[in-house]
Amino acid sequence: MKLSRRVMLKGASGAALSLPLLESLGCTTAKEPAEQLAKAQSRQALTFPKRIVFFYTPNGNLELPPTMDFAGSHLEPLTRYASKMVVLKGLDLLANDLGPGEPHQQGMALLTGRRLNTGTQVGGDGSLSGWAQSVSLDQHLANAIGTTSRFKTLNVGVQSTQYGGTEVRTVLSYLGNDQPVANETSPWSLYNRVFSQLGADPYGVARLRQRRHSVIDYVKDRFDQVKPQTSRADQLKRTRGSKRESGGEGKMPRGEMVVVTAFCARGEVASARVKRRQWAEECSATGPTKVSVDGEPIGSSSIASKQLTPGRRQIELVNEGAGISDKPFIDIKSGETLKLNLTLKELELAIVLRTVGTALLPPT
Amino acid sequence: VLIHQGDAGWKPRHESSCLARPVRSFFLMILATLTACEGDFSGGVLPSLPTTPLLPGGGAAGGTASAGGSAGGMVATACTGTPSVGSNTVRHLTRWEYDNTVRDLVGVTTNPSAEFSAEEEALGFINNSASLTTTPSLVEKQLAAAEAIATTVTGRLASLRWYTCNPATDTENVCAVRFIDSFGQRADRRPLTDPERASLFLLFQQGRAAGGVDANGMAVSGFLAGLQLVITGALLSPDFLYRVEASGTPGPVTDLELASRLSYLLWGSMPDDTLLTAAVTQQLHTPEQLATHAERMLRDDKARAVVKEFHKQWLDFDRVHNAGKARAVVKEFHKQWLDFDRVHNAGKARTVFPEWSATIADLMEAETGDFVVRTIFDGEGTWDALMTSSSSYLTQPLAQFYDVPFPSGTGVQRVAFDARRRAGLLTQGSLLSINAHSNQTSPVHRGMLVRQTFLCEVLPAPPASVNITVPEPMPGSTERERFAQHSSDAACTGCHQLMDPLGFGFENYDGVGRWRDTESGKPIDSSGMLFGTDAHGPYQGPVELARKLSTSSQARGCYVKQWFRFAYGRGEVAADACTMERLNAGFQSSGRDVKALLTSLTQTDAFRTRAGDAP
Repeated sequence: MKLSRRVMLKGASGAALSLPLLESLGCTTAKEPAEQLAKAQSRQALTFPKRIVFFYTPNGNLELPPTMDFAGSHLEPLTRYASKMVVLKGLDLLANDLGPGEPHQQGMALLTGRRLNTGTQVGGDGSLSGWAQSVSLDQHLANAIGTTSRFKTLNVGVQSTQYGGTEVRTVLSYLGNDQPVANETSPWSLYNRVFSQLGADPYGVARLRQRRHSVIDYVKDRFDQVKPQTSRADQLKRTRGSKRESGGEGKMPRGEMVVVTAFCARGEVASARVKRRQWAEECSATGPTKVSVDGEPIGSSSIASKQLTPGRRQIELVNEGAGISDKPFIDIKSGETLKLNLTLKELELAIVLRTVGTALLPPT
Repeated sequence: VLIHQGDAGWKPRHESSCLARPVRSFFLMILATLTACEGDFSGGVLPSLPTTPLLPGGGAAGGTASAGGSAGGMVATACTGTPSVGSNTVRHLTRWEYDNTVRDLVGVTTNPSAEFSAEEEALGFINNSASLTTTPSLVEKQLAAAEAIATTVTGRLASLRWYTCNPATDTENVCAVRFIDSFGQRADRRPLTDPERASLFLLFQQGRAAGGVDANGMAVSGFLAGLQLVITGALLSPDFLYRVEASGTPGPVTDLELASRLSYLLWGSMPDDTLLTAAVTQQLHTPEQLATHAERMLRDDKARAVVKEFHKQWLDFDRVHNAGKARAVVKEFHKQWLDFDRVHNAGKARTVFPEWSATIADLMEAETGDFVVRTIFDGEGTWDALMTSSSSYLTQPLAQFYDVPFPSGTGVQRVAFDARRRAGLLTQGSLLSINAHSNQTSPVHRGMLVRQTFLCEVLPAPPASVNITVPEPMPGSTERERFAQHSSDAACTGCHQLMDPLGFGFENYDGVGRWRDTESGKPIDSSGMLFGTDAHGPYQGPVELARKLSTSSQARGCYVKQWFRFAYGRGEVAADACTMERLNAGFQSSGRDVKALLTSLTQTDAFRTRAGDAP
């Protein structure tokens, strides 16, 4: 389905719900509003993304209709979508009997298929539990089909603050371990979130975006400066992450060697530990990943390298075999190792960007 | 630094060595999303703050029936001279604290956090640092709120008493720097470093260049657009949104950190200039200095009349304001502890309680808030009074609803109830209505209220196989008769003997908190029984129960424990034994004075020292 931007701005609001609204107005921060506008106007068509909707009502349901004819049942309001629906029946809510917490807590982990973490959230009977342990099905699917939208998912709940706040008994979606996705409970607030910039003056939107970029840069610096308490859990995460190599403290590096390594692994294997040979075996089906920096091809995985000065760069990664293509931004800093993970089609592709503190380039 | 890019599996691995790392990368990722330029927000690393280990064996909510004990269940020899304290995590401002802080910072009172997602409740409170999470929608709303506040503030710069700028003589840059210096240190709750000043000035310049709009969407001058960006950035910085403290080794908390600890404990908001000045001049670390400030902050407005000079009037005004803030904290604590605001959700059957309405629910919530605040600040100020006072503070329509005489006058009045019918918190209409069904009372819920909220006990859940359908009211039967199955069925008796006999004592109050002498034509039997605890024994009616609880060491220790959790934003751990012991001893020796307890909370190891890294 194609929609022209003009149609969208005229108020095809139902369709626009999932459109990448701001994306359509251009992207690059450094450019002037007029330039952004021109870019936006050059993009005449937008693709309507796929969506999947999960409805969940706790505490049981009325008898489900025996066929997909919903007439007379409590699903009747959904009749016009029946051809696009799957109604799951006869499932056992095994999550209800698993792990920490009481059933009202346990049952909410149903889309994760795993028991809850231990934690301090008090259930109806005083049982304690934490958040869920892994990504929920809806988020997992959204990772594959929802990435072109500004809103990868919209999470809406009724009475989701029933117990006074966002807590395990009211959360169905998880980005991952201990990463709940809170529900929007106010329809008005949701509407504003999605549509507030629809039909807005493109110059105004572009200016807003420019201002927000300045704010992000500022906030980024401030977070850099914060050095609060460390904790064991945090240290653990740090150890699991890639290792920071010592940079020349106090010296401003004049140039950096960026080594881009790309390899793939299956499942949850810590990518950095996968040996080259293993990679060769597992990735033979997908072939090498092409790497570009700021639009300039620098080679293919497993090793590609380029000298860069510190600053923000756009890396482009294309793996035709795996159907993976992406353009992340990175900030090059002295002596820092960055690792990016990309998951698609059961394949985890890990890209390691390793910047080594050297002074190969003349001062700029 | 990796800024998150559109596709799903990209997980940033930022490698700075601090707790803020996950918070930071996540926060930035979402912010980046909002520009819709560097990709969408589509998953990633949430700040998973480390959790605090709870009391071994005791469980988060204070353990089983025996764990409450005197001195909060702690051994009496915990204070060995070496400071001992459980570790804390970085505390995120709650919505309530955010609004208070914005109010005190820039005078915006529009409840800007109204659309933020609600906090998770842990251990009965919503400010538990280990449980506050940052979600995509929260960051998005924080950005929108910061922008809206910035727009409002720049529309009325003249109202900021700390900002002076004479356009006739000062250049825009001079004015901007003045603004940055005054505003920045208040927003960060500490003096700015030179690089921070410089980066805020850079933000000003960028904002000035980009332009902005006022509240009506009209373009504003470059100068105001610059200040808007300064404000927006400051309101999103970690020093504003989090209560950032130094990391690392165990030891005393710095003066500046204590200023924020004090102000968020006693005011639920940022430090005032007096506190910040004391901290900057290193006059805010001894127990005496802390107590002096705590008492100043808790002081009421009675001294106002004697103060004459303008400057003192200004301070006095501030003090009145501050006294109001301390009251707000006390009210917030009791609201979270007792959940009396949930009376709004107490749906009642119109056929059974035709007089019930949303207005009555409003008035009941207001009544409990007023009762708590006025009892503590204007009345006896003690736990005993909270539990046993036969007066309350309400308006005429609520008095009519309760069918009690209302004194002359309008608005909220002190109403003296029949002392045989009313005794403090337990008999507040709000709590009685919440802990009841829509069409009848609930001895079970009222019993649970006492067990869990006032005695800090945890009750097990009903077994999954048990039918927990509530018996419907029937003509000619009483509540007590209908719930008799709980005492006749062996599957129920074990647990329900802890609740039902306790809750039966409240039967003189119907499902909406009104006194009654009969039910279904039969006289009410309000004899109750409290099993276990140091208040074990039979009692007759809620007034006697309230008296028993008011003298119970377990109930007193529970109240102190609840304050600990609220004040420090975490559960108590074994390392806090000395803090708990001192709080309990101080509470007892002060005659259970609640304001003295608040001051005591500023004197403990838990308040003044920092733990090392979590074990």
